[in-house]
Amino acid sequence: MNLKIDRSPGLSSNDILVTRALYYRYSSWLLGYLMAVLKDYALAEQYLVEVFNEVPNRLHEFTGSESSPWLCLQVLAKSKLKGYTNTLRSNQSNTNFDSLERLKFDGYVNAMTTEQQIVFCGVYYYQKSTVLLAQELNKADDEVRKILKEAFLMIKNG
Amino acid sequence: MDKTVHDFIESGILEAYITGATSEHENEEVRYMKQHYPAVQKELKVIETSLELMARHMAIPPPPQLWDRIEDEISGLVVSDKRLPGEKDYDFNPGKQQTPKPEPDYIEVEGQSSHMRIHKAWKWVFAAVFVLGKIFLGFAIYFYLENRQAQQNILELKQQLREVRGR
Repeated sequence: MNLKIDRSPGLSSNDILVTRALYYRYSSWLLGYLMAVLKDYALAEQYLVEVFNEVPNRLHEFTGSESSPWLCLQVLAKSKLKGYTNTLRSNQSNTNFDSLERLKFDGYVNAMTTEQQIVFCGVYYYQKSTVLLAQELNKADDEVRKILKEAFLMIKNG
Repeated sequence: MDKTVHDFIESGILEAYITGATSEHENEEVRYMKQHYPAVQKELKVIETSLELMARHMAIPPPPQLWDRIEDEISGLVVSDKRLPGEKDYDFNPGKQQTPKPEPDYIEVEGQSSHMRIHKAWKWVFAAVFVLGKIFLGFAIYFYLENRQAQQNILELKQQLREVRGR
């Protein structure tokens, strides 16, 4: 009998130190983002724990990427939220212009026009592609991207 | 700036790329442009900064003990490279002569957390031990006082006896 034991890549103490540094720098940002999506503190906290439990195994993505750690964390959070946002999308098949309650986020978003809010929040919080938003808004994809760019300009200019 | 690059930046594809709203084909296109045009790279940094600005503005501090919870979970399995002196690795094959191997077939796992987890049912056991402890302590104090009282009574009786005999 030949017993074969797989050697799985384990975590080193250094991985945990790096994760802790990321946690102290970005956990409040991520919790704010998760709260904006989930609107439930306990659930947002649960997702935050899940994301940071995953970070030590994904540190190579943080070091290998040219993007900022915040962006990498967001990608990770979005992958965790995928199921939630899909459910949200199936429950609300089309963007409802009249029901803007879910678009009440913060100063930056509130300062945007309704169209900018729908495009920005759709893309940033609810993981919708610009193609899908173009279908929902009955606009061309290029037009939706222009609206998204304008929304970003609003954030940049405060 | 090259008009093509300018149009590319102004199209809003970079914002869509940063937020993950582009197709795989478009992602490749952005990566190519980023690699070849510094203006695209610079614009991507500006967009990232805008997102960071917004995230900082919307930040909600998590509860202080949350990191301990995460650390407990992730530090449960930490690989240690430490090996005991003289320790060798062997191929687990009874039919074969045991030969030392250059690479280990196992990983040594050590828990870094100073906490331990026990089943919730144990809290009733601890509660019972605590209550019984209090009862025994009460009995001990009661019998100690009783005993002291009895000793005093005996001394008094002896004293009285001596006085009676003296008369």
